[in-house]
Parts: sequence; structure tokens; C-alpha cells
Amino acid sequence: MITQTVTTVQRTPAENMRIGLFIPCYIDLVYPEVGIATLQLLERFGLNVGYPLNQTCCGQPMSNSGDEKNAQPAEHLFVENFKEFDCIVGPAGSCVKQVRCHFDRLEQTEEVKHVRQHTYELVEFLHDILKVDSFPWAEFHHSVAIHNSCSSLRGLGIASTSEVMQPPFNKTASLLSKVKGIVVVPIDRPDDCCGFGGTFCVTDEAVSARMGLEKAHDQARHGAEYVVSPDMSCLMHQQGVAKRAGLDLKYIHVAQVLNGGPY
Amino acid sequence: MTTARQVDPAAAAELFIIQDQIHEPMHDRFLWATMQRRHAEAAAIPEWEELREIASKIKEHTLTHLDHYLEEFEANDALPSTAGNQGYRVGFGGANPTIGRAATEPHRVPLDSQDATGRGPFVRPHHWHRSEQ
Repeated sequence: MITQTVTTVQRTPAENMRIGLFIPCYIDLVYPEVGIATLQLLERFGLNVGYPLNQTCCGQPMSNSGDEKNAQPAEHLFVENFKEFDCIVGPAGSCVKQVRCHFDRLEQTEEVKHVRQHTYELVEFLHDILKVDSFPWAEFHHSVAIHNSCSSLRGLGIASTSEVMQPPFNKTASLLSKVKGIVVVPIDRPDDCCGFGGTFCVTDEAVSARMGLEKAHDQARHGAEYVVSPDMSCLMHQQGVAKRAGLDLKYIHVAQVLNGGPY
Repeated sequence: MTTARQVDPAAAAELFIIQDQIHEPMHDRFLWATMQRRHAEAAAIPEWEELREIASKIKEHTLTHLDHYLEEFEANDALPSTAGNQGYRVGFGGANPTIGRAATEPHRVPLDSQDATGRGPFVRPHHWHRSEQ
């Protein structure tokens, strides 16, 4: 007899999939609670989630700086680690974008093509593949500003952007609206870059910090208590800027809200 | 030997930001207003994205075949080529920029040529982002 121990919302074709959990370096090192929330959330849907222990950087910092030569071994290792999985899911838009859009220097073998085509950012996986319609275990009684990163917006298309003339949509907002108690507050410039930009915040510190400050003021001005994003790296930057400016804002990953913690 | 002044964009931007509380916010306001006007105009044209896609393909084609078009441009231009020179001249509104012939030249040419033309400093970013992160 099989006993159901995990609360499942619905049966989906995805239940039989083997899911590879891709945890980016900075989440592993700085925000482990985001990785835990992501795993717990995926397992709530009865998914068979595996975590390759040999995984490391996807190569993005090198690749973004034009160092494709040194990015390649990391990219190759990524494919080796994840090639056996049906789907690869990671809680970070920019890292997923690196895999899907920028693994161009590798020889495009069937394995490389499979990994590139089946690597999903968490929000799009929940929204497009699992088609989740409720999160009955989650409650969040706070006002929230959403930050969709440039990579998630322009690279992965998780929401419409102001510069492209198309009907508006926002997958992050759509998922969050299914969480009890949450109040999503609009901000003036939702699709503006926050200035993080990976290595940009190191090479162009002053511009980066000013962009982050404008973003944080926008969030605070509209009464947000929390800022929620599928990209913790942008939030790492905004969190630092807001703290230094004395703004009372808390920054958490969308997986934490959808899973009901850990915070 | 070149005496060209190279600009450090990050340092220049920092000076611009910290100089006062007026210039950067004004710059931001104007740029934002320009974007809003652009979006309003674009939204008023139903086939905007289709037109933009066509324009994008024209740009990509032109850049891909730039060598051909530059030579055609040179052949049709009234100014004669400068014999014996590594580069050659075309009449870019009297600016007469030199165009590098060899693959190694394009990076050096703008720095060298600006002294001759007397035009302002050539800004070459210290890093080239292939994409945002």
C-alpha cells in the first residue's frame, strides 16, 4: 500500500519526470534557505528531485565578462551533471539564462541540446510546466513589491516588458497572487534594471549603487514591506543598498513565499 | 605614437553622480520621459513589433555585409582614395575617418585618427558586457 505523505495539489504529467535541482553558487553560499525552499516546494508536488553533488558554477561570471575559454569547463561540467535528468530547475533566472541562451561555445551534442532545452527557472517551471493553480500550504500577510530581473524578463520572458508592445503578463505575479494574504503593490519602474548586473556592480560601482538606490526608493515609496524575486542576486544588491540607506525593506526569494518558508 | 586621451567611463560617471543633487536626477527624469514618449508612440502603431523585427533584420544584414557596403560606398564617393596609405578616406561629412584594412587595425584606428581629425576623445569601455546578468 502506498501512503501519500506529501500534500499534492494536482496530478500532472510532470510527476514521472526526474528533476535535477540546480542550486547556483551564491545561493548555496549566501542564501541556503532559498535552496531548501526550492527543494521542499518541488517535492510538495510529488516530483522526483535529484541533486547532483558535483555541481558547481554554470560559468556565468566568466561568460558575461567575455572569458568564454574559462567558462567552457564549467559549462561542460554542468552538462555532465545534469544530462540524465528530464528537467533541470534552478531558483535563479540569470543562471538559467546562461545555460539556455549562452552555452554556445560547447559542441552542440544531443546532450548539450537536451540540457539547454530542459533547464527552467523555478517560476516558469511552476507556471508553464506544472501549471500550478494553488499553494494551499502558504500564507503571506504582507505587502510585496515584485522584482523580475533583466535576465528573467528579457532572457526568459517571465513577464512582459514596457519596451515590447505586447499584451501584459507576469508569471511571478500570477503565482504570488495564489498565496493567501499577499498584497502585491505596483511600483513605478517594475522592469528597470536595479544596477546589480553581476560583474557590473564591481566594474561600475557608482552607477550600480545609484540604480539600486532608485529601485529601493521606488519599492519603499509604494509601501512594500517585502521585495520578492526569482533572482536572489539582484536582491543581494538591493538589500545592501537599502540597508545602507536605512530603508526598512526585507528581501526574499519567491520560492520562500510559495513554499511558506524557511525565511 | 598616439597621444589620445582614454576616458574611464566608470570614474567619469561617478564624478557626474556625486557632483551635486541636480544633474543626475535631471538626467534620469529626461531619459525616463523620453522612454515614456517612445512607448506611447510605439503603442499607437499596431504593427510596431513587426516593423521593428524587419528593421532589426536590415541592421543585422548590413553589419554582416559591412565590408561590401563600405567598399561600395567608397567606390561611389566623390573623394579619391589616398594612395600609399594603409587606410583610405571617404567623405564622412568632412570628418575623414580612416578605415582599417587589416583585422588588427579597427581597435587602434579610432585612437590614432582622433588626433588627426581633432575630434573629441574616443571612449572605449574598459569592459564589454556580452549581456546583463
